[in-house]
Amino acid sequence: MSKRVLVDQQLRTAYSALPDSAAAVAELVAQLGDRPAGAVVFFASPAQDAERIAAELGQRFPAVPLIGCTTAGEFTDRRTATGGVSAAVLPAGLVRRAASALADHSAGVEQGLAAALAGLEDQLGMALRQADPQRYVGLVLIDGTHAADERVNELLGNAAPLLSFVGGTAGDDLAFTSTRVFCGSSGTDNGAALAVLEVAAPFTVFKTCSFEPAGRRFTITAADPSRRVVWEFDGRPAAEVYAEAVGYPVEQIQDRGFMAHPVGLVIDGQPWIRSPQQVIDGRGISFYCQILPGMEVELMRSTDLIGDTRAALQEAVAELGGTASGALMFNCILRRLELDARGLNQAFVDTIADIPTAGFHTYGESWLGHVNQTLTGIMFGRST
Amino acid sequence: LALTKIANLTSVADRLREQLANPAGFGAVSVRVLLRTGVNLRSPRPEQINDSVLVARVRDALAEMGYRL
Repeated sequence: MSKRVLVDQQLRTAYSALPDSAAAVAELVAQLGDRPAGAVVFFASPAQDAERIAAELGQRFPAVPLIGCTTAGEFTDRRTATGGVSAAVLPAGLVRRAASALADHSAGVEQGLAAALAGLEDQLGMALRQADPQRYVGLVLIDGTHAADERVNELLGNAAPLLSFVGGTAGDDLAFTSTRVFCGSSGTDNGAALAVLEVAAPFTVFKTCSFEPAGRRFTITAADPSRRVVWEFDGRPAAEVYAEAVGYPVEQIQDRGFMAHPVGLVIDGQPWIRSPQQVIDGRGISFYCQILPGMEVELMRSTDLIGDTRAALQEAVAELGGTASGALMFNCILRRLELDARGLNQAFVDTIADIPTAGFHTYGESWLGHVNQTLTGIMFGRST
Repeated sequence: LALTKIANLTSVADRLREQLANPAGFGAVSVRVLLRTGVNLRSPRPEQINDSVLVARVRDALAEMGYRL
């Protein structure tokens, strides 16, 4: 008679709101427990001593790949807040093996990423390009003040176009002065933290945003991609064209139009959102993502953030056969601001239901590229 | 090796499908191409299909990802 062995694949997640980082990390460690870990992640408010948290988690989980970053808010399946720390242990029963590396961009994004990718390949003993995308997944955390998100995602895609790297851009509670990413106890304010996991269970990478096409398309006819500024839509000043489309004067579009009406590149009916940031010189619009001349974007209008998020997470669970062992999620700061403004923070947490989750509110989301006003994530199932 | 002549985006998409061992990979690569070039390889806009500048831009993006068509 065979006996079924239950493998421990459930993520253990933790949150601490304690303002003293020594006490916070002690509380995290107590919540994370002592099960064998395959990988560890943490997301810390800039009010916390993130170096200390990284170092102490590293001591608690020696020889286990660990990455983390600073945030614009942290969450788990139980709460979302600012000022604290969220963390997750991905158990050894879920992650067969993992590699991690810190890309230091101080000598250039290309050089830093190349060294980090080589490090990952050395640790795994294989080229990332050969990694089976059904068994392997990457995590990427990018610093949030050097606008390297697009280039980092492109370089990851060049190295392994079929492998998903999912993650987000580090935050600093909207100060926009310094963000940090960590690999083990090493950190940088100009780089990216990478991890690649070999997963022992089914998993799915997902993204969701709460927008639908508003029925108006623009072609970018003049732009400065290095500054993420669009100067012209359809041969006219971008701010003027956008203002006409959303029905507000140019002077009001930043306050009344931008949050509810980003633009999107659409493929298979799915928008990849580019969010406007501010009006430049009264005629251009800066975005949180690059948009290139010649691209056609659709004006979007907002839908039901909570309902859409719940539906996306339910769909991910269904893809995994109805059972999830946990998730890591990366939620845009603009979505968090909407949650704050509408008093929907608890409703957001409730969409996660009882799926063990750790995540943070980001300055940008990554999956196949850099996107805005989106929730990206990875959800793990269970092996049968 | 010199790149062979490919006249339009439909041919680019067909060649890419041929190079991908896993057909499911076309979706991921298509999104990467869209975000880099603005071209939806699954359904390019009519005015884009025969645009030689765009064809070259898409082929460059694919070449960076290791797909030399």
